[in-house]
Parts: sequence; structure tokens; C-alpha cells
Amino acid sequence: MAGDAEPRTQTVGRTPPHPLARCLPGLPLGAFAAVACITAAGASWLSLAAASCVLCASVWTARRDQRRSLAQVQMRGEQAAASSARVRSFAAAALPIWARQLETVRSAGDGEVDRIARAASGFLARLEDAAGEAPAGGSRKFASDLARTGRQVDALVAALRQSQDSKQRMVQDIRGEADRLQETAGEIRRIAMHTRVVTLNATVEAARAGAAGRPFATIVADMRDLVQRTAQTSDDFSRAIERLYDMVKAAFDADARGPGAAALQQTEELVQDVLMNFRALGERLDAAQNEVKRERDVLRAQIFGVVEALQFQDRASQVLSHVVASLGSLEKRLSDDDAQLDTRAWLRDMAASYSTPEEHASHAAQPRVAERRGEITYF
Amino acid sequence: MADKLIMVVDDSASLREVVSFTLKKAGYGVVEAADGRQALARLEEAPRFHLIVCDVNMPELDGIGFVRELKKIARHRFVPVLMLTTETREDRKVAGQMAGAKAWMVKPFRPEQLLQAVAKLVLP
Repeated sequence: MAGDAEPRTQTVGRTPPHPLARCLPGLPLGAFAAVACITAAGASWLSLAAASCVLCASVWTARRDQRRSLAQVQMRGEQAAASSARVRSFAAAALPIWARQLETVRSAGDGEVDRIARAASGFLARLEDAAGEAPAGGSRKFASDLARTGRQVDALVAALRQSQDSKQRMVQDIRGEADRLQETAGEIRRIAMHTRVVTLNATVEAARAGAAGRPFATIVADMRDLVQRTAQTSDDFSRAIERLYDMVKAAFDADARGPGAAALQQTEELVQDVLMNFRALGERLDAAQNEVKRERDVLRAQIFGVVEALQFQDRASQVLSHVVASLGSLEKRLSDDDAQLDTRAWLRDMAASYSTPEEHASHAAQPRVAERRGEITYF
Repeated sequence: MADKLIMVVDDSASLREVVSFTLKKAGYGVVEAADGRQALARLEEAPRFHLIVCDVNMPELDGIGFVRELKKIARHRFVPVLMLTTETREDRKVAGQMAGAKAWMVKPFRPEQLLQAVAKLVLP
């Protein structure tokens, strides 16, 4: 309202001037003309009459001019009053519309900011759930389980290999025992051969002894049979030892060459391959989860930055609500024709309603104040 | 910290969302109220609060008025109050202090700033 800026109060019309004052502007000229007539024509009744006419005419002209001026002033006063009434009428119509428009902007902004804030909170919560609170916790357990399984497989393979080695040693031990038994059998054969020689000599001596040697010859013959059987038994024993050794060795060799050993070897290789693949997979999972965690931290910082920026919407909303309230008060004041609009008091009341430093700075047309984010005072 | 209950009082739903989310992520329990009157009603519903975070400019009953009313309730009079506001004028800050608030924080804030203040003020 441009007309409200400077004057403290508004008034319409002026006090009408004194009747004599209406005539004053035209009188000096008329009086001069009347004096000139009398002076020129002398103090006769004709000159006096002429002077009176001139004077009356000047008075009449002056009064006519005054009436015209007064009418113009009154017209201007009426125009001003009409203009003021139009301004009031316009304000009464426009102010509530502006107030509603601003309130629409404020509430729409608040609604959208509320929606954004809820969405940001929900997104952050889902991000935290997806990335997990303990970085790489799942993959670490996976790697730990893999390592334990690998150790178990290694122990199993080692046990099987040890079993294989034990069998080899057993074969060698059996070979050693068989050799010792062969030696013993050989010793028995030697003893049998020597005994046979002794029995031959005894037979010869028994024959020389004649009849007295017959019982001795019988004993010698029995001994010869015994030696024969001993030698035979020793040979059989020796052959049996060899057969037994061959059978045991054949059994162990068949086991070593057979499908069990190959399967063990293949199984070991297969398990090691699988374990290696799972270890690689675990490392990739670990790396991926660390990457997710880094991205989560970056996103979280960005979202918190957005959320922090949204707080400025709260300040904007407060400013708009104060403007809306001020427009409402102005509308009420202007709707009262008799009310005076005191600009200074009005501005003082506006400043008292402010709640943000930006409002105070704008009110005083001062530079925008520096932000004091999170400044805290403890009492 | 889930056993510590904090009330958040602010007429701005987005601010309540921001503050509540920050506190809940830090492990605090949160109850919300949209103005001072609603906050007084909420006080009756919980046995104990460990902290109240309160805006100043609110309809119905503003933050400073709420703190004055809070101090009249025997069960909750010792609950610390952190005023969270856009107001920076000293006279308003003094009014908050005189009403019984424990701290005055200017919005906007970073989450870590809020959490630092809460950790300092929350009742054990």
C-alpha cells in the first residue's frame, strides 16, 4: 500500500476558508483599477460609479475563481477518499487471496518435506538392514567354516595316507619275519642233513656190531626216517612261508593298486578343488560386502545431508506462516474504515512475532546472518 | 540404551521424523508429540522419561510454556529438557533457562551434534 508508507495518519478534506479570504486574491487589481478611474476622470459621480462597477466586477470575478478552486479541492478530496476506499476494497479482496496462496505454498512444502523425510528414514533403515551392522560378518563365518572343513579333510587324508604307509611297513615287517623263518627252516634242514650223515655212520657201525648192533640199527633206521620227515617238513614249512608271504603281499599290492586308493586320490583332489573354489567365493563375498558397506556409509552421509537441508524448510514454513498472519491482521485493520494505520507500531508488532534470524535480518534490510548450525548452550 | 525413553515435541512432522530416526538408530526409545498440550498428555502415558527434546515455537502451548508446566509435575520435574529451535535471540534463550530447560540448540543440526548433546543430558 504505497499511500500508507510515510504519514502517520490519513485525513480527507480541509476547513473551508473565511468568506473575506475568498475575495482577497482579486481585490487588489480591482481596487487599483477603481483608483485609476477616479484619478483619471476626477472625483465625479460618473467616475465614482465607474470605479464601483470595476470594483464589483473584480470582486465578482475573484469570488467566482475562489468558488472554482474550492470545488476543485473538494473534488480532489472526494477523489482521494474514493481512492482510499478503493484501496481498502482492493486490500480486503486481495489480502485474503495472497494469504491463502502463501498458506498453500507453506502447507504443500511441509507436506512434501514430511514425505521426503519419511522416505529418507525408511531408505536409511533398509540400507542398514541390507548391509548389516557387523561388516563382513556372514562371509567371515563362511570362511571360518571353510577353513575348518579344509582342516578336517586334510586330517582325513593324512590318516588314510598313514594307513597306507602302515600297510607298507606291515608288508615289509612280514617280509622280514618270513626271511627269519626261512633262515630257521634252513637251519633245520642243515641239522637234518648233518643228522642223516650221523645216521649213515651209525648204520655202518651197527652193521659192524653184528647181532649186538641190531637194536641200534633199528633206532638208527627210525632216526633216518625222522630226519627224512624233518627235512621234508622243513621244505614244506619253507614253501608255506613263501606262499603265505606271497598271498599277503599280493593282497596289499592289490589294495594299493585297486580302486580304493585311486578313489581316495581323486576324492582328495576334488575336495581340495571345491574348498579352493569356496575360499575364492568367500573372498569375493567379503570384498562385495565391504564395498556395500562403503557405499552404505557414503549414501548414509548424503541422506543425512539431505535430511539436514530439509530442516531449512521448517524455517521457511515459519517465515511464511508469519507473513500469512501479518496479512490477516492487515486485512482486519483495513476493513475498519475508522481505524488508523500506525506504521511504526505495526512494524514493531511484526518484528515481535519473528522466530528466525533471517526474519530479523530482512526486517532491518541487513545482510543475511551466518548460519549457526547445531550451536548449543548448556545452562 | 533401548531402556532410555526420550520424548520429541515439535509441530513439524518432518522435524519429528528426523529427530526420532536419529535417536532410534542410536538405540533410544522415542515418543512423539506435536505441541505442548499433547506432550503433557503423553507424560501421563509413560512411567518415566530420561530426556525431552522440545521445539519452542508451537501452537496451543509453546515450548517454554510446556517446560514451566512440566516443572509443576512432581513425577517429571527433574526430566532434563533440550530446547531445539530456530530462535537465536538472547531474551528467548534466557526465558528458556528461567523456565527450567537444560540446554538450547539451534536448528538446523547435524545428527552427531544432537546425539552428543543427548548423551550429555540424558538421565542415567
